[in-house]
Amino acid sequence: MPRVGVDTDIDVRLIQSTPGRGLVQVVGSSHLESIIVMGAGSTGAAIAHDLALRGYLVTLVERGEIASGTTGRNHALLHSGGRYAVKDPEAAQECMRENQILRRICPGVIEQVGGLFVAIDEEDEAYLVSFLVGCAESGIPTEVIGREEALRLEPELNPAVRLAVKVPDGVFDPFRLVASFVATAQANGVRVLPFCRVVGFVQDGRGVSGVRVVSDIRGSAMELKADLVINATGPWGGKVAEMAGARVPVMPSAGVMVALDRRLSRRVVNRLRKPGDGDIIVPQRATSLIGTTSWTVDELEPVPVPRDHIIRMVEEGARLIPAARHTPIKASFSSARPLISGNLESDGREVSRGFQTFDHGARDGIPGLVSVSGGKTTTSRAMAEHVGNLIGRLTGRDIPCRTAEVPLAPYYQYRLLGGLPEARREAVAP
Amino acid sequence: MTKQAWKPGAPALETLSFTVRLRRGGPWRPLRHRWQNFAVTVPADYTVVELLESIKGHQDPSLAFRHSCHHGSCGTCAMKVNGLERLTCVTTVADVVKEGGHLEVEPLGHLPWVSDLVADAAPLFDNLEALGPGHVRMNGIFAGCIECGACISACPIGGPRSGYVGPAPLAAARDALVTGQAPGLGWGLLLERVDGNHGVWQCHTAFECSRACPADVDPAGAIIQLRQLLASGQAKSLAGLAMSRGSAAIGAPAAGPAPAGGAPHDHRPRREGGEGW
Repeated sequence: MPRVGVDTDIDVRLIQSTPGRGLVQVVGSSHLESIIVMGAGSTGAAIAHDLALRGYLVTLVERGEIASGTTGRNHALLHSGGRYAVKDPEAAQECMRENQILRRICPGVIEQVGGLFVAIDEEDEAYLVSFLVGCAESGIPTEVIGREEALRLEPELNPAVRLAVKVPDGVFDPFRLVASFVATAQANGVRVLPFCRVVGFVQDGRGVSGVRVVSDIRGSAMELKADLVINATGPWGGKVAEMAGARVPVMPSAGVMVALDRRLSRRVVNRLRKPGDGDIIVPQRATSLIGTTSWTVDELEPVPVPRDHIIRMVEEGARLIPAARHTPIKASFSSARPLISGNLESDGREVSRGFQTFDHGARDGIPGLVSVSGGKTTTSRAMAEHVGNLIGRLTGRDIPCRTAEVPLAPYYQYRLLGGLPEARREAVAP
Repeated sequence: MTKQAWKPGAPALETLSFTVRLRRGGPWRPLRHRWQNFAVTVPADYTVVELLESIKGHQDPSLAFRHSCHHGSCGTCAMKVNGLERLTCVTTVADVVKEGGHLEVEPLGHLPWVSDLVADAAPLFDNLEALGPGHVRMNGIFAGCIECGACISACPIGGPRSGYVGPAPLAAARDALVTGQAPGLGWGLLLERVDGNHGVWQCHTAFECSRACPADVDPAGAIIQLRQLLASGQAKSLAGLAMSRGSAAIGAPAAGPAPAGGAPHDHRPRREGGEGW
């Protein structure tokens, strides 16, 4: 069995306690640099896991429960890359590669159901050739099937279906995927602090040497010191970076999803056309998720759920599977994607689904702070590898990434209170 | 209980103004516990979790509560709403409060209290892992259980501190026996726990767990079935059969906690149909 342990002696010391001013904690390291990761969505959790495997001393801070922002509310689609095969072959290739890796390292949180791209009208049919070429160029295996076979596989499909293409899409459980990353990180010595809000940075001059946080479990403020701080706060990334005087051009782009109260299909069903609103139904657990729309938002708490978007999702979904119109809605919800953009006029759909890292030392003259934004949960491991390599360059170390090989711990080994002392863990609410 | 979409032609949904009473504090906080009131005006189709998000975003950023998927499948957001366990992401405020009324939200009972509205589900996870059908926890998770903890909170026997195995873990044990898929503890210990002092015989058949379950698992029904299986000796035969088929090896009890990186039985792929590309 691959070894997950690291060689460093993890030494998180409580240096001093200053009554009235909160705790001052120094995250000390016996071997490698100490690094604070802000945000425990799929990006931050994967980064904490990656850096722990490389031997860094990592603290992961999250303002709420893990996966309580964008990741938790995502579409749960383990991309095959088919959705990007025509317009963004690079993203498509990366999806396919990461799809295979995640199936290997955490199969337990993935429903390996496969996916279909279905052609409903002539226009869809005309898209087939460019779709197949795109998939072939991106290394995505496909199989074209006729109408009868499509309806045999998915009896509730729109009977007008002309043909369908099978692709290796899958479905993951977003919360449990993140919990797997975090559980593995915890097992490797990462200190995970949920319900811990970053309220500012510790700065020497302009350089960042730690974060100021308020723990909503302890009800007190703390200073956490570290050699490097990574901002993986998704759509909040711009506001968080601003506290240090840095700029991250993140554009929160919301999407509405509608969860119907049963599984309408066994597989993921996509419309065979250029990606657009409501062109995909993902069967997840006992629901079917129709998504999604895309518009830029400022309000993140809660992200608004416009009613006309809900109606549009159900109508578009019914073009793929007519029963969508008559199935009770279990929930409708919005999440905000952290899209990177230089052009804030766009609606978000055309902006790159790729990710970007920002070394604020080089960009803004603020050493010690790195931001990462954009990306998809399917490619979170790759994002983390990229960030890990950047951290390697910044710390002058050349430690290979191991996350593609090391299996993740089961999600139920994640411990919410892992970062807290034993005492008082048994108290029950009055 | 489910969130209804506004339909074309229906009158516009109203807003509701009411008082939210929240349990605040926690065992690590200087102020151990208190109730705090918030006056709110929100759209009537807001879910309770959206209401909490809005309080956190606009009134008190220190409010702690768990939430993730917002569509009733991750199981993180179960809380007590007006004294009853609810999955707050699929409960609209219109379901639980009237104009000018009071809405009370508390963390789940019987589980370790973390802070404000947060209870720690770890003891539930441990018992599910011990008694559930091994990897099936993830393989569609037994009978659709979303591991929210509502049944533990609702059960009049008490939580893990009382020693009682608990409704969802007993339902998981029933599924392990019926499907023949080995539990984390192994068959011998499963029978011992389920048939022991803190197993199925401790249940008072109050049926609160089945009432509270947002995923229709019906743990009380499972407990009754387990009693029948135990009393008739069939439980032993089922376990013996499963063992003789060799499935015990799959979920053989690990020595100590499973190592990070996962034992093989934790990593079987989840299949719910499809060809498993």
